[in-house]
Amino acid sequence: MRLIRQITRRKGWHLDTGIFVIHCDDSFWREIVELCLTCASAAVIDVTEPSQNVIWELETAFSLMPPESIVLACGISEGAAKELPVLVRERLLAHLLGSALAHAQTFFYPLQRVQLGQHPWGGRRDLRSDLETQLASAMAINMHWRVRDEPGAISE
Amino acid sequence: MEMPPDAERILSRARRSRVHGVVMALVVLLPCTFLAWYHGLYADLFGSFLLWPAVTLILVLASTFQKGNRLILWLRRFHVTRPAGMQFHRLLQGACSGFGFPLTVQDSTFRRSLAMSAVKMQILATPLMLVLLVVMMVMYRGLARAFGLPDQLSAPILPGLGVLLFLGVWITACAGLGHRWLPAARVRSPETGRCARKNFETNPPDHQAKGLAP
Repeated sequence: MRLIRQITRRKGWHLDTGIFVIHCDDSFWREIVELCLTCASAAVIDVTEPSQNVIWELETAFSLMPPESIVLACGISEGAAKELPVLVRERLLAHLLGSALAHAQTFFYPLQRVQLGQHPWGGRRDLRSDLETQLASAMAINMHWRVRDEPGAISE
Repeated sequence: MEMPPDAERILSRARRSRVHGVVMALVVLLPCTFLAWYHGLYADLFGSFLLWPAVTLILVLASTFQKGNRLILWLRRFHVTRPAGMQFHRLLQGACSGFGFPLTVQDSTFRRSLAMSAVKMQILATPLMLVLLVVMMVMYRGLARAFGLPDQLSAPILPGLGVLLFLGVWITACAGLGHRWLPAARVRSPETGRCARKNFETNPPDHQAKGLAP
């Protein structure tokens, strides 16, 4: 929690390029994920391979955050349609509420680099721009939700 | 109480932050380039080492303006190796630029990544370069004495020896040390939330790393 507070309140110059990784022991990774979800402005959950752990992460995320601030990222293989694969959708619907799933944002990306530039994918820049827009809207919704539910908790 | 900014405002703020980063980097880069060119630092072995602090400063500036304070949690599970697969972490990193702070959680199945360490080693570039410079000088003098080579810094063998030595130490450091004390924060127990190590990771090898749980 202290670490998360340090991240969100840091000011001035810093050298922390890339994605920050929190390493934890196998025995309590779920607690750490829960803690991070509680503090996160948006969550990106990769559902390409919806294992039992991914399902747990989704259930936890949907219980702690508004569905609109969750981005479901799904890798699409070559030749497949740009939508949640049937198997993935069925697996998710078996564990999650359909309405919550419908409100979550979905982001599709090509599984292979060679798919970039081919139909229906744009270039890397287009993908990044799509993801950026989804993240910004997820964050805005999350901030509205927090302000509504916890007055004075977070304000820009 | 202020209303939270909507998505458009978040995006425009992110764009402004990126522009500031570029401007600041130029403010540092242009005078440094001019000074280096004016004093001919590129042509001098010792002078070229003086450029590293400037490079580090530019990296700090870029990082400062690119990272926001809003946490964006990335949860993934990649046990399958996909050759030539899309690197989602790079996409996410770019998408968060200017407004978000992407973070992820990994369990102990994650071990090491040479690519990750190599980028993280940028942080240590300046001190490593200085240490290497001293090591190179000592080695060169030793070799020169042993084989009767001309003991002068302009000897033709010196640049080649220096490059080889530098690459060797760099790769060894990335492979050996990188995974141990360069990755991010390690939480030992959920009760205390104590961080044993606090550093930063740049490129998690998404298609090679182990996922959150076995």
